[in-house]
Amino acid sequence: MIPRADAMSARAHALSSLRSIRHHLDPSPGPTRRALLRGAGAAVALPWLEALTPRRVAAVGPVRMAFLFMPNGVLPSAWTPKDTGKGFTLSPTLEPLEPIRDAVTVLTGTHNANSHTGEGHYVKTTALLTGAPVRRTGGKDLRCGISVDQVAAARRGGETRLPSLELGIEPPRHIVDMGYSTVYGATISWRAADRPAVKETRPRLAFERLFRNAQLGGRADRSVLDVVLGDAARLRSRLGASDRTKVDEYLDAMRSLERRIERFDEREEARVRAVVGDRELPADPADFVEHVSLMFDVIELAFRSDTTRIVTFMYGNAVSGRDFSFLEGVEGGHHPLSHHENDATKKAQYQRINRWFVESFVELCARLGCSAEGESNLFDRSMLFFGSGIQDGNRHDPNDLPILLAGGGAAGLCHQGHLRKPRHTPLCNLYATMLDAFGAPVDRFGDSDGRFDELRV
Amino acid sequence: MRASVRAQLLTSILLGSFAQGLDAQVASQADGARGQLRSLLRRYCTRCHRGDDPKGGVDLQSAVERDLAGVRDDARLWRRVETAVHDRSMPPRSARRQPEDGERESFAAALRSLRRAAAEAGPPDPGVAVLRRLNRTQYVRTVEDLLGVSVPGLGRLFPEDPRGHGFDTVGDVLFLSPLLIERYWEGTQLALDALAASPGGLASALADTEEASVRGLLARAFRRPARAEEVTARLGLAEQGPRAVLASALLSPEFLFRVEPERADADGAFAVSDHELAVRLSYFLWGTMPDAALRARADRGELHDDAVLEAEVHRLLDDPRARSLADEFGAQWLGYAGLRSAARDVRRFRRFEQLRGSMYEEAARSVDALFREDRPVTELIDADSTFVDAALAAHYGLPGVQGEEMRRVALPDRRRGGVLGWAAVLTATSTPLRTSPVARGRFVLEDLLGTPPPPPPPNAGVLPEDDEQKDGLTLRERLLRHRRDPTCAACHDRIDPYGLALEAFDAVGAWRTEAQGQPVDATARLADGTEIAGIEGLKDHLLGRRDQVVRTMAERMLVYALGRPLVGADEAVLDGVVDEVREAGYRGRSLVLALVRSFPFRHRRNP
Repeated sequence: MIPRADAMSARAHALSSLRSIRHHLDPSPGPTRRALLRGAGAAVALPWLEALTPRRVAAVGPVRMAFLFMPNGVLPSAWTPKDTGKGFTLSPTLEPLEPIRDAVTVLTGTHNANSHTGEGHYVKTTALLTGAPVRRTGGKDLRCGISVDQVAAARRGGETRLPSLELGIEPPRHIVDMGYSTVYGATISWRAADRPAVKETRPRLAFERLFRNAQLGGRADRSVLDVVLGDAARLRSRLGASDRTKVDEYLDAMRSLERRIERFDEREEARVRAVVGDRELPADPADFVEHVSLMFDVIELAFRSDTTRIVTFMYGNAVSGRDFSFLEGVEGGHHPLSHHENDATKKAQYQRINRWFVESFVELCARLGCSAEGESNLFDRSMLFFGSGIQDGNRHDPNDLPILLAGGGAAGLCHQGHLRKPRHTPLCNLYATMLDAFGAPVDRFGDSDGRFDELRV
Repeated sequence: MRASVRAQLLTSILLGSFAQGLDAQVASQADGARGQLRSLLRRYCTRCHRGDDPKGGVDLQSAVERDLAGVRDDARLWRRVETAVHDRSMPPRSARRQPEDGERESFAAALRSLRRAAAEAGPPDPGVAVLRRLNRTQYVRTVEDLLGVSVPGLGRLFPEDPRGHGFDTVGDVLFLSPLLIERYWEGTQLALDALAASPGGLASALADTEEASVRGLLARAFRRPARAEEVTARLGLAEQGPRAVLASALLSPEFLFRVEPERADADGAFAVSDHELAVRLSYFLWGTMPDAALRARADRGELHDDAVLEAEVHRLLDDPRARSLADEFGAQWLGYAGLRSAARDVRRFRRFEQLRGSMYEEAARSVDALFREDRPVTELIDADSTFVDAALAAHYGLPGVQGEEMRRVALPDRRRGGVLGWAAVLTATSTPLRTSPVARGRFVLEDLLGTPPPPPPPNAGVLPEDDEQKDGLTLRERLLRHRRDPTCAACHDRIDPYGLALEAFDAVGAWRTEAQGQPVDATARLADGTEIAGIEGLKDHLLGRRDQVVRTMAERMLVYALGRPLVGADEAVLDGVVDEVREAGYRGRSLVLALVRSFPFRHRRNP
C-alpha cells in the first residue's frame, strides 16, 4: 500500500503510513506508537522494499542525504556481526535491521584519525562528520573543520529553498567540560571550520521553518535587506579582524535569507502546501520518543516537499544522560549506563538502549519508504547515515566506529551487508563516496585517501 | 600552554617597568614582598615544582630564578598558587614540612602586594571582548523596550543560547547562523504586527518617515547617535512605509550586535565613550537597552563623572528591571537556571513538580535582595531569613506560612538561609534519583570558593544512578572506596567532604535524618584535616573564607558584565574590588559599584 501524497491530507497520510509500518513491524494486536518505537522488528518483507530490486540504472529525481548521530557509542560485542558480506548474520543489536537488510551496509573498521586525541566524547562527536582536528577551548576560537553535509549544501544546497536542515533533541549544555566548550558536544554540522550550524530542537519551530514562508517576499523585503546589508558593510570597515568574522557570520546568514526571498515563488508555495495540507503545528512533545517521532515527521516532510535534501539529526548531545527507563528492563540514564564497567546487568541495559536506536533508525527508513515519489520512494532516494563517534562507550574507543548506511539505491548505492574494511580506514572515505553519489564530488574530504567503490553500482 | 612553559615565560615586563621609575615606596614594598616570597617558595614548594617535568606542570623554581617577574602576566597561575597555599591543599599533607598559619598568610599578602605593584607599574589592560550579538533574553527585552509593546511568543522563536565561561553573555560562543537570521526576520514581523495592533500603532515607535523621526529611531535602536549614511539609507525606504523603516532598524547588525568599534588612532587602553558605557551599564544591570534617562546622561556626556555614574547605578538598581541580575547572572552562576529543566523521579519525589517554581523564586529573590535592598553578599553564605511560600515552608518544615505568595521569613535555626540551604541549589547539584556529594562538593569548591578541581580522567568510574543499591554500600562508603585509589584521591579528597557535609539534604533539598536505611552522617574531614559537621560547620568554614567567596562572586560578575574570560590584569582589579566590598560591610551594591568603577568596565583597547 503506497498512499498518494496529493490525494490525502498530510495528517491522514502520516497516520496511514504509520499504520502501515506498524502493521509490518509489529504483529501484536493494537500496538501503540510507542510500542512500535520500542520496537519488535519482526522480519516481514515490506512492500516498498520490493521496489528496490531489481536495481534501476538511472537515478530519477533528486537524491537526499541524512546523517543521524547517536551519542555514547555501543556495546561492541552485541553490535559487530560475526561474519561479513551480503548474507551476514545480524548481531543482537542489529536484529531490527532484518526488514531492510538488503538495503543496508554495516560498516566496520573505520575511524577518524584526528579524534583519537582529546577527551572521551566531545571531540569524537563534533568531528564525526568533519574528520578534522578539534581545537581545545572553552569558548574562544572554536575550530572543527567543515562537515560533509555542509560541503554538500555549499555545492548543491542552492537547488532547494533551504540548503540544509539541522535538527536535534537536546539544547546545548551550559558548561565547559574537560576544557571543551559544550558547543562541541551539541554540534555535528559545521558551516565553516569556525562556525557551527545551530540546530533546531523544537518540532513546532522546525515545522514552521519549513512551511511558513508566506511572509517572505516582495519588493519591500528586498529593499530592507539592501539597507541592512549596507549597514553591515559599513560596520565591517570599522572593526578589527576578529570582530569582522562575527559580521561575516551575519553576512553569510543574511545571504541565505536573501536567497530564500529571491526564490519565493507561488508555485513552489502551492506545491509545499499540497504536501503539508492543513496539518496542524505539533504541540511540544510529551516525551523523548514522541520528540524523535515528530522530528522524523519533519525530515520526511522536508524531503517530500523538496524543501531541503540535506539533513543532520542528533538523537542527543555528547554524554547525553537521557533517561531510558521507558524501555523494559532499563533503569537509568544513557551515559551512566554506557560506563558499564563490565557489569553484566548494566551491559544488558546498555545494549537494549543501543538496540532502541537501531529500531528507531529502521522506523525512519520505513517512513521514507512509505513515501512514494514518482515510481520510486524517498527511502530509495535517500542516503541515510547512522553512527556514533565512539565505538565503545565504556572505554571511549575511537576505533571501529559503529556506522550504518541505508537506502540510496536510486543514487546508485550498492549495499554490501556487513562490510569490514581494514582497521583504521578513514571514515572520510565513506563521506567522499557519498558526496560522489550526491552529485557533489570533491577530490578529498577530511583525511580521506580513497573511495568505497564497492558501495557504488 | 603548559603551566611550566608559562612560568618560564614570566616575562620581564614587571622588571622593565620598575626600571621606568616606579614610586620608590611601592617599589621597596614590592622588593620586601619578593624576598619573602622567594624564601617561602624555596622552603616549601620548589622541591617538587621544578625542572623539566614539575609536579602538576607548575614550575615555580624557574619563577624564583626569574625573580618573580610575571606575577602580572601570569596572574591566573599565581592566583591558583595563592589559593592552594591558602586553603592548605598545598603543600600536600604528605609533605614533611608544613608552613605555619602565619607563613601562609604572609605568602598570600606578599603575592597581593607584588600584584598591586605590578598593576601600578605596567600599562593597564582592560582586556578585549569579541563583538557579540544580543543573546535571546537581551534581544526580546530590547525589542520590547524599543517598540514599547510586549511581543508574546518572541522568545520562543529562538534556540537557547550556549554559554561560554559560564555565561550566555560571552560573545565567543554567540554564533549567528541562517536559522537565527530567519528567526530575527520572523521576530521582526511578529514584533511589528504587535506594534501595529497596539493602541498607538506603528506611529508610537516611529511618528513619520521624516528625517528627524528616523534619526531618533536609529539613535535608540543602535544605542548611539545615528550616522548620516544610516539615516539617508532609511529615507530611501520611506516610500515603502514606516514598517520597512522599522524592520530595517531591527534587522541591522548595529541593532543585533553590541558594537564597540576599533579606534584607529588609539594606542593601548582608552576610555569607552559615554554611549558605550551606558550600554555596558544597562545590559549588565537590566539585560536590556538604556532607558531615556540614561541615554540623556550619555548624550550630555555626563556619565564619565564618578558621581553621576554612581547615581545611575543606584537608580538602575532601584528599578524592577534589575531583577535581571538574579534571573540571568545569579541563575547562571549559582546554577538555579538549570532547575527549570531538572528531572526527578516522580514516585520518589512526589512534591517536586509543585515545588520547582517556589525553589527558583527563593533563590532569585534572595539574590535580587542583595542588590535591590543592598543586603550583605555574605547572606549567600549564611542568612537568618529566607523567602518561602506555603509549599516551600512545608518542604522546609517551617510552621505558620500560608498561601502561594513568596515572603521573607525569619529562620529558627541555621539549616536554611544561604545558597547551601536553598532547595534550588541542593536539587541542581543532585541527580534524578540521589544526592551527589561530588557535584555539591564541586559547587562549593568552584562556584563559591573559586578553586575548580581539574576534570576527571577519561577512565574515571561513575557512581550508580540510584542510591538504593543491592550491595548495601552507602554513597559515603562508595566514595571512600573510590578515594582509596591515590589518583582519584588527589582531587576527591578536596571535592567530596564539602558534599558529604550536606548529606542531611536529600536530592530535592528536604531535610533527612536517614538515608539508605541508616542515620545520616554529615560529618566530613577536609583535605587539610579540618573536621566539619553538617551545613552549620560548612557555613562557618565558608564565613571564615568570606573574602574568597566574595572574590569568586566578583570574578563571575566581571565575566558576566564584560562578556569575556578573565585576563591576568583582572587579578589586581579583583583584589581592589574585594577590598572595597569588605570596607563597605559587604553590601551588595558596593560590589556592583566597585565593578562599574573598575578600570576594565570603563576602558577598552583595540583587539
